[in-house]
Amino acid sequence: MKKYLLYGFLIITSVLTLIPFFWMLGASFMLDGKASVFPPVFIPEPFSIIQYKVLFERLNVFRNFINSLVLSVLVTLFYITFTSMAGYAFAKYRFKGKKVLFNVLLSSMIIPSQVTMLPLFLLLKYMGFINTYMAIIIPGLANIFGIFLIRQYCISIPDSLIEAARIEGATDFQIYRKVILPLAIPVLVTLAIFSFLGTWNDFLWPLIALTDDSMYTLPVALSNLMLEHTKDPELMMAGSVVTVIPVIIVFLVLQKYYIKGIMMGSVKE
Amino acid sequence: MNFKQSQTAAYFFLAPALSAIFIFFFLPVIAAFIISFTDFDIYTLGNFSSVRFIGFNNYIKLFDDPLFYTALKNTFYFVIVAAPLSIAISLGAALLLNSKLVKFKAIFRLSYFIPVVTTLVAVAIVWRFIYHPKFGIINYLLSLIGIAPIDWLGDTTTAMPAIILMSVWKSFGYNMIIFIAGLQNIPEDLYEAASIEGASGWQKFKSITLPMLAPTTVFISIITMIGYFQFFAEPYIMTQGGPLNSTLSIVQYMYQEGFKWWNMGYSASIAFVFFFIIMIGTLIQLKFQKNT
Amino acid sequence: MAEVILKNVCKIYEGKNKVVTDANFTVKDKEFVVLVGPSGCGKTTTLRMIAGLEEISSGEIFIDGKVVNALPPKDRDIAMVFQNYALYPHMTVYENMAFGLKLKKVDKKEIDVRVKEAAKILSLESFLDRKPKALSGGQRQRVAVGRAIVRKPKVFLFDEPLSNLDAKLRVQMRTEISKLHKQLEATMIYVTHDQTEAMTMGNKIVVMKDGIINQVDTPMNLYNNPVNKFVAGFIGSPAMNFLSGKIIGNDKLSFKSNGGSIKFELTANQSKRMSKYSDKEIIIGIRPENISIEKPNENSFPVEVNIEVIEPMGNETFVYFQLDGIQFISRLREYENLFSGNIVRLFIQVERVYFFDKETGDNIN
Repeated sequence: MKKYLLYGFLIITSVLTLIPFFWMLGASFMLDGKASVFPPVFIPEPFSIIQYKVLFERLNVFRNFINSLVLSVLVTLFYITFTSMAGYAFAKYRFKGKKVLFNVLLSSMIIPSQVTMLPLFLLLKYMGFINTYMAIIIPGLANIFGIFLIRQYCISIPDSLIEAARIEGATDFQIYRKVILPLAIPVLVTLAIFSFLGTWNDFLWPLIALTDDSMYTLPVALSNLMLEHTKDPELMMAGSVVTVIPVIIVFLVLQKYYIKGIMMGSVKE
Repeated sequence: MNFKQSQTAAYFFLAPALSAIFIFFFLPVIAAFIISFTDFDIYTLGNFSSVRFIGFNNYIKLFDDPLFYTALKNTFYFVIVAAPLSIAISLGAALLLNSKLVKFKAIFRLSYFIPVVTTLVAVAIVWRFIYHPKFGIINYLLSLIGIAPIDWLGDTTTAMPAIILMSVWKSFGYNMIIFIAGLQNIPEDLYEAASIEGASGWQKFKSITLPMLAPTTVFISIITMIGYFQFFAEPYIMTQGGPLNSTLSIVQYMYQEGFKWWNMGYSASIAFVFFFIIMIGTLIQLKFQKNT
Repeated sequence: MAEVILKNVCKIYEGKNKVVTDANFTVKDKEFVVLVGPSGCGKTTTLRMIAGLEEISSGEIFIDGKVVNALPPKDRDIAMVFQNYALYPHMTVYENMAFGLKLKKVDKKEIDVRVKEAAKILSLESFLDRKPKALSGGQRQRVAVGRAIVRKPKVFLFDEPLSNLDAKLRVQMRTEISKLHKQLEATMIYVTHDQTEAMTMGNKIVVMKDGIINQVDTPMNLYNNPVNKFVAGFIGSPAMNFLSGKIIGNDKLSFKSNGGSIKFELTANQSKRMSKYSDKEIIIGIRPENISIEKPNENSFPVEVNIEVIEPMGNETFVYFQLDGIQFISRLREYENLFSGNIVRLFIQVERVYFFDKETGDNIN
């Protein structure tokens, strides 16, 4: 009995949690006005892809989709490279100032990124990068969290692997490239998902740093679209689907790594 | 290994990330601090030399600014209600999913978790329609139990609760995962020992689960608090801070002052007060953790 | 192949903590030298200094006649086998063995020949495509050795390579490495904390304690003529029994233990060498195998003991008892129908008694 109650509760709450997505998906395939009815409907009748056509053909959302995709991939590539190198160095090298540097970084994790936005905007404007891909890539090159996660992981790699490679004639970079990176793949995948989803989902900074329709990422384009289409739930839902589906796919494929990453991030020093 | 060579290699590996963090994070933090003591505005943007130091004027003005107090009040309202709510729901979900009775855990976990990874802007738009006074799902569900339609986002008293509900929905799955990890770290034999001594389910929860989860809970409180303090896109998309500024958040106010009106000196002072509050909040909770 | 020489090598951590003090020894070409000692004695640090993984604080290390102090590991032409094998988990056995050669840009065909040859020697041929995870401990150890062999280094270094294996496998690998040494005719330096490994494998053994080399000698010399109490106690299993007492008499010396359980006259030779210890406290050492139930010769003395514990091993029997309240062990040749609680008379050969200075622990006979 207790068991059935438990399952009933879990199923109901799960469905409730997912309802916004069901409705989003349903409404996105409806004709104009079909979603603005009471009581709400979930099944499109008739089924139509007109909203997606409008999005891609008239509103040129494809361009924003490409912006989001290219930026997320580029940021992730740089991010992974930069943080893995630094995290490895923190884990496996002795160097002057290591402790101080590490503690400075650790304690500055508390500084919210919003604090940096004004000067960052001015700096990038001065460099001529505002409203270019660079404006998004540059602040995403590295962050402290990523360095720490990699460091934590690298500490668990035995020193003797590195020493064995050193004796066999590997240079420092070869050790990083051929021994450390392949071994760190799980944590790299985790960070890559964090970075990809983070960049894809980010809103405030792209809103500030990108000023042209054609440069907007999907969230910014979507929020802009919302201003003119408050009364078009069907169109807006199609836009939301286009924005959300890629991240859901990435998550579903790699969820094991993502979940592990959350758990790792929550392990304190 | 030769220490000098190893130093060189270490600096080589550190240089890219650390210079990026230094130039595009630390430098801006310092610059923001300096700017907060200037009258940096739209005219300065065109001509940097016209900037003047005005001491604490921005901060003084800030504490006289009713809109700032509104934003502060709204932000605290949001954090103080949403954070405990989110933590309680996360813990509940984690306990349910950690129960031995439940199978197909992965599926339930997944459905609770999906909102976490989705784009905030997109789901905020979806929720805007879910809260629609005439056609929204929420009002439909309420009508089933005989409650009259509510203009959730259009009413100053309901707008913030509506945003809180959506935010909790969006993020409880994240904390749930951390709680599950915390629960799995509690050794099973503690419960077995308690059972032998005749503890009831509730007693076991109170005297084993909760104390053992204390460090996890503090960690979750801190990250949830910090995350919620920064809320911006929710009101930006759903209410634009309205109605009558009842959902205006600090970050949103900072954004408006800085990037809409280009009062950058003023905006920077908001940023530092905001940073200061987060720091105090974190310190209080860390202190709390030491006492437990 | 090559000779390794250590001259006054010291290792000091953070300016004060001396881990290795004035290490001096020579490893001749084709020799198998074992560094042995309790954990923390500096043996591994010494090996790592030879490998170039640790900097030398002072002194000089020569490999093949050249000072290598400043040379990075890769330029020393050495190979090392680690305690935890240090196999690259993401590479197959073949790739693991080929890694170093690939880095050296050795011709692919040559790599293939060398890897297959090593695999044949170590009977790893059927595992070349496997990842280390799919191998047993012993197989992993062989891969680690194979990885060293393919590079044809001047010197092989082993850092406690068998300590992660179970007892049976350890004995087996011990002989395999010894065989390998003969087959390759290579210079090998081997670190272990296990004196049995040291005794069975080394041509020469370096015994270390607290960063100081106590004795460098052949296994039999270490056993028969230990320089001090530490070496005497460390080499041999079960370990030597020790007892404090006094030398009495002037011309014809005798020894009397403090508790009075043992009293015997020294041989003429012993008396001559020990004359200056007359009337002084010393420590004697008796190996368990030099205590017997039959009287071995005229020059032996009896002790009456109350047997506490008997450990029959089949081919031999360990008998535990107390003398002066100190635990003694004797190793009798076979099961002698003894039981705990029995009071028996055992004999100790005077010639086989060791004498140590009470203060310095030096062997004074």
